[in-house]
Amino acid sequence: MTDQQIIEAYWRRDEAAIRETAAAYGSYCFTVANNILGDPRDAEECVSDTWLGAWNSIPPQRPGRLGFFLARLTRNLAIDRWRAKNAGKRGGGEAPLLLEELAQCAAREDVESQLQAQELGALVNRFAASLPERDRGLFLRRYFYGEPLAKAAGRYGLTPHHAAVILSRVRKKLAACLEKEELEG
Amino acid sequence: MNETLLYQAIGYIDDQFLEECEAHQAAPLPWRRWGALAACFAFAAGAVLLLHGQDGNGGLLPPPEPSYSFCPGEVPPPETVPAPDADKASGSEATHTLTLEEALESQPYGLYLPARTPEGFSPDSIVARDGEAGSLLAVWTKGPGAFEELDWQVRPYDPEDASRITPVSETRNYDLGLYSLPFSDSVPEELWEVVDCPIFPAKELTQEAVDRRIYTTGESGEEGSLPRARFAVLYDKAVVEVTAKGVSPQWLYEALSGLPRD
Repeated sequence: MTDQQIIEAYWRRDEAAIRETAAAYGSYCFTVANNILGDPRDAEECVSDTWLGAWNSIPPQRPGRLGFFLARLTRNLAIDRWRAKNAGKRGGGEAPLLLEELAQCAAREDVESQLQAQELGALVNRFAASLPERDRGLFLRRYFYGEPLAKAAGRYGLTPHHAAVILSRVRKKLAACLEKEELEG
Repeated sequence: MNETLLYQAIGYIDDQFLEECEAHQAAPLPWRRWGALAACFAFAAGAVLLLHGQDGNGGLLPPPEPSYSFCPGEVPPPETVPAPDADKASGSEATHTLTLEEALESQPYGLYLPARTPEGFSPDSIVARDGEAGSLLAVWTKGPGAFEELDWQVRPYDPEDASRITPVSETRNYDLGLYSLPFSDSVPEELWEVVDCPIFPAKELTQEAVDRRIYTTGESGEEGSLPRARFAVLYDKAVVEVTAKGVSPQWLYEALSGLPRD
């Protein structure tokens, strides 16, 4: 089935939609979940939750790119699962590191009180558009897909050290962008 | 939590950026750029090593991973690291461990090993890799658990090295005294690769250039105070890449300026 056919199956409430989704995107979503959680069993459960999440949200949603829609579901479910399981502790996977790194950008309390995730998402998109392709790709590999630094670095022919430097600078730029947005109200 | 909100916000990234990201072709991994220490661990074990986690602070680097495209529906390869002699870029090459005496006599790179060992150091491991992309990796330490370490890698010149070759006159390319810690903030991005590991033409190498590569981390404790250096020297028939911790710049210059040994 094509993505379009799978989406139509969701709309018809045909359970084949889940079967076809799993066949097409099972590995993809598992990789995203496992990157974040670092536990294959938790990742498998997260993927199962993703199919349920897709079933519950299509309709009314009609994703343009089904794979990205599922990746978004998976990464949100994964981080929630990680937080529930490891409150106050550092567990496996990239989750603790991802959140620790992103905390450098979102240090101000005002960010949480005044900007919701969706509005913040619009800002992130504007920010991403301002980055060179390599930096943007590294940023997404790390913070959207949750890839370990070494793997993300290798995709761009970089040493992990160089990639870490690039991401450090990108995070600082993002922090400045967030602060500027906050000051301009 | 603020960082969680930002994490969620990143989920709203436009599809076009994700498409661009997934369409990017993975670059071949320049294994020679990995720290000599990391390569040494991979070779010395002589087997597949599985190193987890990552280091964003310039610490120990894992061996190369296979590159692959990340496409929906494609089953990713196992999250394991190949043995060094499975390096696809260079074909199949054998590796073998040598004693220091054997290494000094080995061809073609034995002539580029130092004739003397730094005071207090002893050979820890020496591994030779055969084939077109052959190399010699030697590690000296002051014993198990010691912070001091000298990694000495001899390898052929690679066209990718060109961007890191610097004349001694261009101090901005290698003089760490011009930059403050953390170097990631102070070094301009266009200079990062060369400042990270400059390659000096052998005929231009001076004691002063080596001195300018020395830095300490500034951290408290014994390890933080050790002099560190990382740079390479280009000879007619080889590149020698040095990563040193606790080795005097005088010893480094004397050892490098005497190569190749007669």
